[in-house]
Amino acid sequence: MKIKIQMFGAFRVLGQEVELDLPETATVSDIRVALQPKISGMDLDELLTLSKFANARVVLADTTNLDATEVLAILPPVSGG
Amino acid sequence: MSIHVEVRDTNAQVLDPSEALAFVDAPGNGAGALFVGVVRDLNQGRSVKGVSYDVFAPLAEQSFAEICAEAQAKWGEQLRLFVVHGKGRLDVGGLSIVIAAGSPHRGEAFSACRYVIEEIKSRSPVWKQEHYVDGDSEWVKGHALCGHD
Repeated sequence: MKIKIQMFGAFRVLGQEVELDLPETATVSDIRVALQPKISGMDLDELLTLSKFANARVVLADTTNLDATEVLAILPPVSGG
Repeated sequence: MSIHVEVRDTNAQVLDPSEALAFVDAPGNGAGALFVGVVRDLNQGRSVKGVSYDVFAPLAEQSFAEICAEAQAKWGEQLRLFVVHGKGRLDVGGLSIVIAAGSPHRGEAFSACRYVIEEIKSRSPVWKQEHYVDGDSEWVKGHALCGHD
């Protein structure tokens, strides 16, 4: 299935959105694995490890099954205020 | 409604503390506390020219609303709260966030205002990119979020 991930913070360097092709049984943790090659050489590995993923309502657990109808967002460590 | 939360494009409309204080005003409220976040010109020894705020708006507004509801649960239903966070680029002196809390007495207003800003800083999906006088830019290191298990 195709999963669209909106980019935020330091991951904006990859553009507004990244589309990933993942197995139907994929979970949130598979997004992190699939993003790894796209950040090669960008010094973003530690940030990816620390990042969470969310839909528009909730931050998702790594074990959550993916839903191809939802656009998700990558949430690196936050620094608002 | 006793709570107002918003993410606002600062290129379209600046944040206005008077708007926040007006919202939390009520006949039964004898206190209004205000917090204003301002872009400063120095961070960790580097001269700052401006800051760009990136925000995942739907989740940010939801987190603001949850935090405000928690504050009402702690300090009373009479508490009125206003939160607006900027999105976009601001120069030094620009307002990045305005929070106001109105309540019958000052203790609750101060406590609630402090609670809301501290929780937003650690829980809301907002990111800062600092732009330095030397032309460099850098994303500010932040707090890792917790996922639902």
